[in-house]
Amino acid sequence: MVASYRFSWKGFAIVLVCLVLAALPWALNPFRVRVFTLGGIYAIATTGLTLFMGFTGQISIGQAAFFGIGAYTSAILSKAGVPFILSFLASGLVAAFCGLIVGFPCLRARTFYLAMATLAFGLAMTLIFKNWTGLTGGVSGMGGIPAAGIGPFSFDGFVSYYYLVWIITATVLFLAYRLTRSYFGLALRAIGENETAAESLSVKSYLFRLISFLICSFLAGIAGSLFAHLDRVVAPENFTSEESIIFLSMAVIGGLKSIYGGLIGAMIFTLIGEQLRSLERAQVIVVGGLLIFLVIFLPRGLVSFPEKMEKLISKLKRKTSLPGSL
Amino acid sequence: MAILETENISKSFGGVVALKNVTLAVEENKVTALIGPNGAGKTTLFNVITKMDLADSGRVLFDGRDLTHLKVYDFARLGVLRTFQRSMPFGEMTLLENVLCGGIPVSTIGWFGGFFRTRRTKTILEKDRQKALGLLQKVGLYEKQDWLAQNIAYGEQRRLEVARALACNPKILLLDEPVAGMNPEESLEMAQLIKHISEGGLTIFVIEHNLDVVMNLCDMIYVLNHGEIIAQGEPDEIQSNEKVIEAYLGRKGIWRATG
Amino acid sequence: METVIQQIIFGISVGATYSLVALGFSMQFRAMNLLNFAHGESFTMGAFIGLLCHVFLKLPLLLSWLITMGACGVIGVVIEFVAIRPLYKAPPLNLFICSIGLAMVLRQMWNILTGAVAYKFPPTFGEAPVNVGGISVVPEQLWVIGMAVLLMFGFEQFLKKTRMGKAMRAVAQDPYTASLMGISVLRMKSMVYAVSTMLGGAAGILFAPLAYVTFDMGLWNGIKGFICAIFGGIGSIPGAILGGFLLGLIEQFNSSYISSLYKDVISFLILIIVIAVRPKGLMFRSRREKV
Repeated sequence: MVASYRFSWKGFAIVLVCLVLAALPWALNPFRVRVFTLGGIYAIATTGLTLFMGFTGQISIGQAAFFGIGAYTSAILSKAGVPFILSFLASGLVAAFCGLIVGFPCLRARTFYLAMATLAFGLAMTLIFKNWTGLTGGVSGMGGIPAAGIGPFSFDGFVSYYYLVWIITATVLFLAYRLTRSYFGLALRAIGENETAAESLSVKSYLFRLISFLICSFLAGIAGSLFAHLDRVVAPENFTSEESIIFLSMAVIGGLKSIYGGLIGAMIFTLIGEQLRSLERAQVIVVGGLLIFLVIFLPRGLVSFPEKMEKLISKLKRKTSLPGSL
Repeated sequence: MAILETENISKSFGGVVALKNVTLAVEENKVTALIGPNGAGKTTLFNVITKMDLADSGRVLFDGRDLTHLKVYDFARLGVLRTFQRSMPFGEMTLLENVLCGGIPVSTIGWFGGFFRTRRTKTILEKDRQKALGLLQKVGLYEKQDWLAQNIAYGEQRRLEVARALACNPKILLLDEPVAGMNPEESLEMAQLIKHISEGGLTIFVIEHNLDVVMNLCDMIYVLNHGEIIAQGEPDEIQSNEKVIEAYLGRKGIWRATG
Repeated sequence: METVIQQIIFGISVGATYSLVALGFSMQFRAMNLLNFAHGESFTMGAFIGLLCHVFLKLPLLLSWLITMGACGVIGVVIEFVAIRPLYKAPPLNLFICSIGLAMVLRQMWNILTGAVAYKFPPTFGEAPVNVGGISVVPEQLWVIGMAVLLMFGFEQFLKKTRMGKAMRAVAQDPYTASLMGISVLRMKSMVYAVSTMLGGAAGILFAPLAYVTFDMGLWNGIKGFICAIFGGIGSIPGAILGGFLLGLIEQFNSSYISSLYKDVISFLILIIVIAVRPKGLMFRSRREKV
């Protein structure tokens, strides 16, 4: 609805990225391809978070729980013989339903309530994942998940699954982008800016927050489904509170106000993920420290890095070019 | 013809009576003012009318309809728009986007309209955009359409809010101290703007402290003090009303003496 | 009958520590408008520093307490200065996120320093239960309840009677006027953070003998402290105290009669119910936000 200036640059960058992504699997070894596939999966969940947190100004620390719910749902259904498309959609719906349970009471209240409730929800779900052995396979998780397949075509190779994931990721990003350009997106932003004013303009803030939270958990759910079919194994350790905080960090670091923030944050994290994992326990400290640092110095995330640099440069220019005046 | 009426509105906060049996009627197509000293309950009345606060008793009628069961977000669609005492722009949106938000209640393409770019939605979106730009022009902010709302001057923000309110084709505008915090120049601009839009057939109900603005602008004035209406009438009547003078100045006669 | 009373006492003793954490939450909210994710970590802090002094350095209990309180206060001041102060002017979302990052960092720090080991903190009066009115009671629990009540009382007196306490209350009610009266709002905020960290630390060191000391104890205990804080309406002190006792009792009965394994799931449900029923708390008295 509103034209942005740098459209040509953005468009160019998007096309470039798409081309690179399309060519990637032919240039890299399977291990690296898996890393990028994982990045795409995380990007879906993170974009959900960005949509929710960036627009409504609320915080969810339970994304990994919804991710896990989606993963387990898909695993259980697929193993029971349900076709992939259905278990994929079901994962999203089940996760969204859980989002409804959490969001329904909490979104009426201050931001902090939802934050706490999602944290508690995540911890509670971890307990359930670990202990409801009959359903989830307990601590060791579930294996032997069949490959994703649509019709006669089975996505059981690295390359084919990569394309499946990225096609879905691209679709999600496109839809999210279109959403922000609609009156719905405008209303969401209005709520985030000034709820009282938004309500005086007929925006039912509670309803919108709830819907965007449902979208957020739905996306986490379908991402979880894709995750389950990646390595075809799921275990509780992938869906802990630490993971929720990592999702949160990806969203924040990428930039909450931009629709691409989720993608950027997710890609950066997965790409340096290997390096992070070698730090083992210090990894969480690095991530936490990075969060604190970023929130203080680069509050809009990495997406805002170029404009922050511009501002800094113009500040420096002013200081050096006008000695002695003002 | 009264388009907005309140009947015996009463409201207390704890033991403090904020409004007591407030009954008034706002005439269609006229400018009505609600004046009174600080703490008289003026903003509380607006809050009660628009459901940001609930009255203890009494009711509000709009166009003959009882508003008792409505919620805050129902008012815009009815055509009742309200601005606030404090400036409330959508800071991180551009001025254009702010006014477009005002178009939300009357948008013809619904929430997911812009989602898929059909030819129909494109034309409607463009029309909405032109309408918003027109409103910005009306309040004198056309050149700054791409500025972020948080970066414009306070007086400009308040004019922006008027433009935003106008975007949904309101039937009545409730303006809460539109010139609060403005310097004389800005106040004059705002007063002229209000006069301009009221001439277009819009009903205006304004809370205001600045008696100069009120006397020149309004067709009808209600005076509120300690939550009760102590006087109502045309500007001339109010100016010489003893109760009003006493409420504002506390002492009879001083105004008479100074003319 | 005996077991019921024992459970009640245990529930109340645990609940008392939740109340102390809740008091810290409420204090930070009222005086600093801060909803602090990392507050639960002060609980862990108190427990570990106490552990260090009393168990590893073999210092007498009283000295350990003093050192722990002092350390918590100092660390509180440092944290406020480094991670909270820069964000007073920023939108509240940033502060939340920062406190989340802070909580992560602190918790992992404990993880690295102490490993995933559960430490045992010796009870104050020995292991043997004592006979009180024919009922066998663990003295530790009574001690915890007593100390917690003492601390809460002391805290209330501090707020009401001392200069600093009154200054804090002034800042909580109206920072602008307080600053006009010569109170340094920044310094008060720093003090508030320090005192609330000390309260949390006290809760930790009190709790330590009741259960094990682990690096992640701050997480759930922080959540429970939060539940208590919102029980009376966030910012309400009597609500926090009452909430603490109630929550401790409910948990205890849960754990004995429903399921010890899914105890936390039930706590989550309680949280959701409290939020749903009255996000303003069950004892809330109307506080308008001026439009």
